[in-house]
Amino acid sequence: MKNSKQTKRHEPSTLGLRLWTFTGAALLNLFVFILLLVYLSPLSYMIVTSLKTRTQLQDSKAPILPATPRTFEYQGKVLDVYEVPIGNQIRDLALYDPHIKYSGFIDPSNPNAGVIQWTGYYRSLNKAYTPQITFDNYIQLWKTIKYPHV
Amino acid sequence: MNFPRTREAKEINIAKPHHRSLARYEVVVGFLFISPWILGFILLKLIPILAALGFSFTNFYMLEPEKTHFIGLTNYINILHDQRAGASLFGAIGTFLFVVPIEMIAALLLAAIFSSKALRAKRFMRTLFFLPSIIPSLTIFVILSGLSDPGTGWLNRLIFDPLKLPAVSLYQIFPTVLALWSIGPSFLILLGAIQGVSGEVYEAARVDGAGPIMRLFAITLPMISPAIFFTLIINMTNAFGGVVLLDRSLPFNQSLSPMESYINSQMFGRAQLGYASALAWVMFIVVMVIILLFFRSARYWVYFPEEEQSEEL
Repeated sequence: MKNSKQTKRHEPSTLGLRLWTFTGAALLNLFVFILLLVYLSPLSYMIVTSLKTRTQLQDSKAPILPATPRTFEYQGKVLDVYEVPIGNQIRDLALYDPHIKYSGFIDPSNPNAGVIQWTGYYRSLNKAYTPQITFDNYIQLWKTIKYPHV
Repeated sequence: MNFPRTREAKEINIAKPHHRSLARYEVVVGFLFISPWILGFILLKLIPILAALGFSFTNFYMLEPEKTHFIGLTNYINILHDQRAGASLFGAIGTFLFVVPIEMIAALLLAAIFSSKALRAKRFMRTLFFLPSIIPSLTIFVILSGLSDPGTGWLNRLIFDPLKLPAVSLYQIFPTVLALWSIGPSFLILLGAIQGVSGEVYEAARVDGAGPIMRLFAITLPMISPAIFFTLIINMTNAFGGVVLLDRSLPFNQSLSPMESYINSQMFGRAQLGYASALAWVMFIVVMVIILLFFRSARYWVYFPEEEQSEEL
């Protein structure tokens, strides 16, 4: 009796063994998946970049994913929208009256509220972007390649 | 003494000439199939290589080809005094010493991981890991120049800027990424070799008490050593001759393939075809010496079962 008890104590349970095997397999698969993501990240960069506009590529503060700068039409003028820190919050405001030390902005959600003064150089602000993919690069490529010559 | 001809003997006698003509026919067809490659090799490789050997003994200046004449070993002697040639040659060897071990270790590790039974969707992931190998070096260069761009590149914006680390440049990452992105063929060859090792050998080793590390070093690596040797040679030749067209506009000392770039600058920048040919031949000889050394060393670490069997017989 004593011997059988001791044997039972040392035997790994089937459930424990299965759990151990499953954990090992899950960790291995997770590792390979992450490795694959890192390994192919330059390809992802290439694909994402091909869906961006040239304007976004030239803006070092632009978002990483394809997007277009937001604009707002006010009194017949197309204004660029910036992320402006006012108080403790960041508001998306359209640049109406640009200056070096201060600038005037219009709130696109409430243009009738008038000009909002903001102290600082407007070029230090980030432009507001809207997620949007473009196929312009592919269209340009299609037009550029001289297929009969290929 | 006349023996009665059996039916079998008649059949053999009849079959022999037919067999010979079939063999000849197969040889002719075989040559016809490989003739495009043979023609391409002779016209596009062998003749230019031999022509370069001839040019290397002349003062061939491409802007004044009419003044070309035989100068013996002068170009080769000039190489010995040319510090830039020496620096670029050692640069090329340094690139080889850096790139090839990375390729080999990464391919071997990946093949070992993929030989695990616990891994799911192997075929799909194998294809994805192989995918970058078919991308030309020039395209990889363009992708990486965007990826490592200090302003818009993901590498600096997502990793180095948040960690307040100095921006990484293209030239710091290019050789490593190029090496890692070209492991596809080596990975497949090594994976095939690992899968070819008999399961009975592992089973016997397990029974004898060999652990995973012991099995790796005592069974897997020796059994796949011919595949390792083959991939080593292939990677080596690629490391010396992979990116010649990539960096034509760059000064050779900043280049990614120093010796090739120096040859390029001599040939297209200074139009010194004679000197460039001599440099190319020096590089060819260096590469051949390294390959011969590898083949010499193979008898000590590569397991060739056929050779062992023939020795036993």
